[in-house]
Amino acid sequence: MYRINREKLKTYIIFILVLTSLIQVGILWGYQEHGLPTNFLQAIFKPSELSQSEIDRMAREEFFQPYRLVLSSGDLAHWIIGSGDAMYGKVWNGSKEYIKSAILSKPQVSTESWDELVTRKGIFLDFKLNVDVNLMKWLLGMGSSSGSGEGLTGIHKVFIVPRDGITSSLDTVYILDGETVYKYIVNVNSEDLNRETFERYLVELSEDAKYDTKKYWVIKEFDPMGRLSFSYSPDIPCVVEMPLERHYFTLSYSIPGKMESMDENELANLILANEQYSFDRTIGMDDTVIFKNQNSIYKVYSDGLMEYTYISSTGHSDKEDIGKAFSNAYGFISRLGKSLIPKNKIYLTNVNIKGGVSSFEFTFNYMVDNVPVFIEYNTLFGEKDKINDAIVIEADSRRVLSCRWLMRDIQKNGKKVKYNVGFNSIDKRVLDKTTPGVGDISVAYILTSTGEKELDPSWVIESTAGNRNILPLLRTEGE
Amino acid sequence: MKRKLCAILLVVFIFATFSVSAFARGPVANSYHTYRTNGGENGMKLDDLIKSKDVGETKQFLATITKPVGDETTFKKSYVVCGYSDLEEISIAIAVYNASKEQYVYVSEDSILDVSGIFSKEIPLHLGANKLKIVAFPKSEINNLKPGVNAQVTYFTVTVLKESVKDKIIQGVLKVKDSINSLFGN
Repeated sequence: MYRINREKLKTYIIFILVLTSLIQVGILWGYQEHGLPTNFLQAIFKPSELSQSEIDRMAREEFFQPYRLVLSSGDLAHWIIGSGDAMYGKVWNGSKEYIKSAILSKPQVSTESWDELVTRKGIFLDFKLNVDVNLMKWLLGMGSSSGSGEGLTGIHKVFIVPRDGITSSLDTVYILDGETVYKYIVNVNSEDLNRETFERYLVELSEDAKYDTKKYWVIKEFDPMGRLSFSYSPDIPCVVEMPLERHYFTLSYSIPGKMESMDENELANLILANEQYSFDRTIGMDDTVIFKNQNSIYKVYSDGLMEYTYISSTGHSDKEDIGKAFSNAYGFISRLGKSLIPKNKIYLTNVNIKGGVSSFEFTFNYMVDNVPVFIEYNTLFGEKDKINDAIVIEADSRRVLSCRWLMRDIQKNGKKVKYNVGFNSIDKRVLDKTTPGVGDISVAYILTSTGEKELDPSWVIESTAGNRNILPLLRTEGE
Repeated sequence: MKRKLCAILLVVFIFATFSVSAFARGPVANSYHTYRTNGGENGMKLDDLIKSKDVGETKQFLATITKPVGDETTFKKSYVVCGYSDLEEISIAIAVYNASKEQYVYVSEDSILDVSGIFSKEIPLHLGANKLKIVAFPKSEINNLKPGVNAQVTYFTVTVLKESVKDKIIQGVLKVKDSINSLFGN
C-alpha cells in the first residue's frame, strides 16, 4: 500500500514539473513574440483575422495609385482625374492591364521622345518616383521575382495609346524609366480602357462643365519650341485657358488627439495593443515615451513624431523580396494608422534599395482631396534633423526594421476657397532660379514646424534634383 | 505831362515787345513735345502703330512669344497667345487684320495687357486666315513708339478650319486604309 502511494506521489510531481515547464516555455515564447503565454494556443485555435493574400491585396489597393492620372485629347486638353471621379477606377484598372502587358513584352527603342509624346492623345500616368520593376510587378499581382521587365530600371511615367483601328491595329505603351523611353506594342484591348471607352471619357470630360476645372495644358504646349529661359520637364501641367481658378479646402492639422496627452498607458494600448505587457516603459528627455523590449524600441515624442527600431541582430536572407517588404511596411503603417490617424490618405513617394538589396526603404506622404501635403518640418532637435516626408519605413521580407513617422491628424475645414492657379501667376524669377531644371509644378499643402495649425494651398516648384521652392497661391478677388 | 505819359507807355510797349520771345519759350518747348508724341517722325502712338499695315517685323527684344511659333492651323474658334518678358513694365497689344478696313484692329476690348513675367492671352478667331499682329512696348512710352527701338512688332497667321474638314480628313484616312486592306487583306 505504502509503495503504491509513493509511486502516485512521483507521478504527481512529474506531472506538476511537466506543467510548470510548459508554462515556463509559454512565458518565454510569449516574451519573444510580444504576447501572452497563451498566444501560441490562440494561434493554433483562433483563425487569423486577415490572410497574407488579403493583406497584400489591401496594400496594393490602398498604397498603389499614380500621383497623376491624365486623359489627353491631343488637342491642348489634358484632364487630371482624381480618385473621386466616376471614371477613375476604370481608367486606373485598365491602365494596370496595359502596364502588365508591357512588362511582359519585349521593348522596342522608341523613336519618339517624351517631349513629343506628352502633347499627344492618350492616357498618361505619373508615379512621381521611378518605381522598381520588381515592386511594380508585385503591385500588379505578377509575382515580384518573375523574369520580365527587360531593360527597365524602373517605371516613372507611362503613356498609353489604345488602338484606334485607323493608324494602329494594336495598343501602344510607352514607359519612361527616368531617362529612356521604351515602346511596347501590346494586345490588351481592356474593357475598362479600350479606344471606345477612352473616346467616351474624352467626350464626357470635354462636354461636362464640372471637368472644366480639371483641364490643363502641359508646359510643352505653352512653349513648343523651347524658348522659355529655364529648362523643364515637358509634361508639367499648367493652367493657361479659362477658367484660371480652382477650388481648394483649407486644412487644419494637429497631433492626433490620442497621442497628445502623452499618457504612456494609452500610448501603449494604441501602439502596442496586446503586446504592451512585454515592453518596458520609460520616460526620456523632453517627455519622450519609450517602449522597449529585447527586440524593438518605440519612441514617441511630444511633437507627434514616432520612431521605431528593430534592434535584434538577425541576419538578412540572401535574396530579399521587395513585394514582401512592401507588404510588411503596409501592415505596420496600417496597424498604427488605423489606431491613430484613420482618416489620412497615404501615398508612396519613394523607394530606396539599401545595402545591396538587403532591405528596402519606402517613403510615404499624406494626400488630402487629391492634393499632396509636403512636409518641411524641423524636429525638436532643430533644423539639423529636418523631416521632408511623413513616413520613412525600412523593411525586409520578414519584418519592419525601422520607421520614422510624423503623425498628424489632417482635417478639411469648411467650404472650398477659390484660388488663381493660372500659369502666368507664377513668379518667373523663381522658375529661372530653379536648377538644374524645373521638374514639377503643383499645388500642395506645406506642413511646417511653425505654430500655424491651418494650411492654405501653395505653389510648389520642384527641381529635377528634388529641391522645392514654395510660393504663395493667391485667392481670387472676393474670396 | 502828356509827353511824359506817352514816353512811359512807349517804354513799357518796347519792353513788352522785346520780352515776348522770353514769354513764348515755355509754350514752344511744349509744342515741340506735342509734336514728338503725336505721330511725328520720331515716334508713333500705339493706335497708329497697331493700325498700320506697313510696319515691318522686328526682333523679339522686349517679350518672347512662345506660342504661336509660326503660321498655324486650328479647328478652334479661339487661340491662346503665350510668352514671357524679363523686363519690367512691359505691355503687349494684339491685333488682327481687318480686310474691309484694310488695317489692323484690336482683337478685343481687352487686348492690351501687362506681360512682365509669364503671360498668356486667349483671343477670339474667325473662320479662315487670322493675320495677327503682336506689339510689345514699355508702358510708359505708349505714345512714342519706334519699331525696333522701343516697340517690338511680330506677325503670325492662324488659320481656323471648319470641323467638317477634320471629318473629311478622317474619312479620307479610313478610305485609304480600307483600300489597302482590300488590296493586301487584313
